[in-house]
Amino acid sequence: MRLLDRAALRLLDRVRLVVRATATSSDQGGHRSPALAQGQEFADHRQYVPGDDVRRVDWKAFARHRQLVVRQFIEDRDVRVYILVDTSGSMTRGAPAKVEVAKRIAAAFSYAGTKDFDRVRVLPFSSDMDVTLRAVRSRGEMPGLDAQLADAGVGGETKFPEVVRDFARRYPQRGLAIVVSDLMAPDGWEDGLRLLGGLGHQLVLVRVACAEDDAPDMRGEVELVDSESGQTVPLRMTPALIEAYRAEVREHVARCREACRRAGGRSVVADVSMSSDALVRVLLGGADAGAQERAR
Amino acid sequence: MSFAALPLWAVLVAIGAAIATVVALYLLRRTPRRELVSNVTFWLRAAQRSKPKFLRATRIPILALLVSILIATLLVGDLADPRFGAGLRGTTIVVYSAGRTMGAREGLGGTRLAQALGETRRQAERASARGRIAVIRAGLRPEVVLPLTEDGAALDAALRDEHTDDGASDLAGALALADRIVRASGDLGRIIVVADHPLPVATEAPLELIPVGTPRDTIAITQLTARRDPVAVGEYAVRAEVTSFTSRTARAKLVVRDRDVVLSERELRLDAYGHLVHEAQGFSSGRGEITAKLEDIVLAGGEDALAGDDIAYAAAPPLRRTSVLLVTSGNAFLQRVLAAHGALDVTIAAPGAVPDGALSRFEVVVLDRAAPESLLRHPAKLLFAPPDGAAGFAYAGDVRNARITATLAGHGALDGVRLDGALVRSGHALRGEPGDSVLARRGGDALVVARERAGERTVAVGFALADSDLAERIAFPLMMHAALHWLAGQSNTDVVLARSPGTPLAVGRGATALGPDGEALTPVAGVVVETTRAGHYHVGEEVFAYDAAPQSETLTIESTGRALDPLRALPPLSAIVAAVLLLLVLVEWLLLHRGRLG
Repeated sequence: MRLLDRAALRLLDRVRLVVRATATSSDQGGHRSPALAQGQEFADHRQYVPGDDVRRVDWKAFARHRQLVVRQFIEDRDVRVYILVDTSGSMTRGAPAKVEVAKRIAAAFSYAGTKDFDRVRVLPFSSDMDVTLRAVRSRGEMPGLDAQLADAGVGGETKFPEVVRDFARRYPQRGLAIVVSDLMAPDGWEDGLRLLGGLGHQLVLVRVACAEDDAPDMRGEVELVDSESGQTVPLRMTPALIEAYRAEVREHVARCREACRRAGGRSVVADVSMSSDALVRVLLGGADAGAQERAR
Repeated sequence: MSFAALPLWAVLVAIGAAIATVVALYLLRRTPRRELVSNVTFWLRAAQRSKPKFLRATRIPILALLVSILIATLLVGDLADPRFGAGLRGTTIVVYSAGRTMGAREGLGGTRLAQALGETRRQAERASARGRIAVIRAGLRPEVVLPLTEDGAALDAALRDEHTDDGASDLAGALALADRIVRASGDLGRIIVVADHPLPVATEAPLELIPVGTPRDTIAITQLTARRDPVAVGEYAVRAEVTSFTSRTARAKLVVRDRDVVLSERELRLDAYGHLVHEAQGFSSGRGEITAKLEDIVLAGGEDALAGDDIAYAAAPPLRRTSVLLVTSGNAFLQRVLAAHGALDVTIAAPGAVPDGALSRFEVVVLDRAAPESLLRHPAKLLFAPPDGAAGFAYAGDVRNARITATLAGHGALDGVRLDGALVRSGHALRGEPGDSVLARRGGDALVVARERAGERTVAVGFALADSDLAERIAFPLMMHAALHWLAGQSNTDVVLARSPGTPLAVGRGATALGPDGEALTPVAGVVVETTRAGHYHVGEEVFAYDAAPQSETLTIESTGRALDPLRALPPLSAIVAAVLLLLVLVEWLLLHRGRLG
């Protein structure tokens, strides 16, 4: 695979995504659901009501108590994993570029999701959402996704609220929604994240950070060029201005993470300087309330 | 204000270039470079957030530019060595005083001369950076110790082994010399004087005085003289004056020596600014080389700062022998009295036995009742009972049993000896001529007449000793002593004052000149000029004392301090400019680099 090296894959082979039961879909799958219906694991008895399948009546209990009760089982359901990857112009910044790290993150989540045959869909977005990438369910489909993801284009402005609304319209079934972005757009994140939480998705926010965004080192007179809109702003860099900028970004990120928390989600910060191995450990540790590494 | 290192036009050009450079650098610095960022909105919000409190960010670069221009201007100005008043570039003459007072000890054991040399070096090093320098030593005689040069290092060699002279520095001569050098250099120039005295003269070139020294205490020998005793032939007396130039009481021991022999010692106690005279006599020596020295000096709560004025030198007038020709047919009084005189070489001859050619070797001729024409041509003669009209002394009348009633004791031929009361049993009154001095008279009769005319000296006594009781009186030998010395052109009371150091010393052909330490001195054209040290100099058998005692003076320098106040009222302008520069650099750093205001 182009995006994940062997070390990352070996690590991913030992983990699986743990999703809250409320975020499962209606299809049968490998994840517990809150619904009690057909399944393998006994859950409880309840009074028989007309219309129940008589095959589920517990006759041994009737013989002992002279009451008709039916047996209930925990239902294992399928989980849909939506990975929204920011591919706006700002993701080209950093060394390596933030978008490359974001793609590796998406590939890692996809790989982990296919272990339980979850339906994983990677959705690159900037001003709109790219829905051309096929959903995958098995490891065998991963190379195709990997290639598509690696070749995905980059550019445009970030319009997260519009993207989330389009996402809600296109994919009404709830699941695990993973947003991978640098959050370097000033507005719309709180609304978008609140909407995602409101749709019942289990939310994971991964911020791809780089030193250029968080701790810029510039002096003197500069003409700043926006990597998404091309807007230019002449400024004289002073330590006070840089400090104010860092505070501004810090507060913005804190607001986004707070919005994510309020939406029931969790947030993770992944720095572009991290190795793939470290990246996976950080991601799965944060994604799970999460990510539990279990010994095989 | 003016600039010493550069002409005004050069300063203006340099300032213009500096301003152009600063503006160019400002424009370069203000040309922004493009930086691609993730999102500029955060930067815009940060810019709003970090808005300065009392200065708009857009004004700060302009302010910083103005500050930078000011800094560049001041920097160039400071390099040009700004001065209050008229600054100069070119020749600098440093004149330092090397007079005796410069040997006064200051704090920490250093002398004023050491301070002056240090200041001279400092000034010369500064001056050599922007022009030629010359250094003049203002000792007893001005001396160029460093000719015009641009090499500041040559000064060290020039000032090595420097010492003070035993006398007052000739600052006036040194300044005149410096003025001539500046004029001859054909360049703008200035004169810097490092001295402990006020400036005595004005100069054409700008003059700056750098004072050295502080008020100090000293006691000094201010006069030392020796004179032959007019009464005791061969003896001499010494007179020393000691003066205190301090407000403290002082004790010292005054020791007077003739070469190595101690003549007298006296413990002195001097009040504040007191003055004492010490006199001693009865010392016998044919050649007195007298040294007086103050020893064991104790000042209440202080110290004697100057050792050079604690010693003085004098030379007693040499005991000269006078050759006398006594022409007499026989006079026991005269023969005895002349023979008893210790400083006379007496030759006795009969009136007809005097060879003409031998007269010149006698300094005085004594004619007793005889007046050969050949002897009357001698320029110094003492006549007893001369014939009428001899040597121009005519008889005015006869005198019998007369007593001298008046004496001109103040005349050199009597030197204070009074003949009043002497009886003249038989003699002649003499008729004097205009200009003659009547040494003794009886009423209107002149009995003893002195004449000095056309290089000739004559004393005529109008009576013979045998006809008077003069020879029986104690005044007689004194009169003879005084008259013979006067006739020989000598004076018993003359005091040979010591010469001031620096006075040339004439050396006769073939004579050997020796310095105070016995070192041989080489005369140039018959004159020794290296007499800057006090002491006894010897030329052949003669002794000459060189002494600076009369030049002793107080070591206070208030007068110079008052003259220098205006120069010292402000620190050097370059230092002020440098301080302003430092302040501006700090402001510029605050504006542009520290960024608190931006």
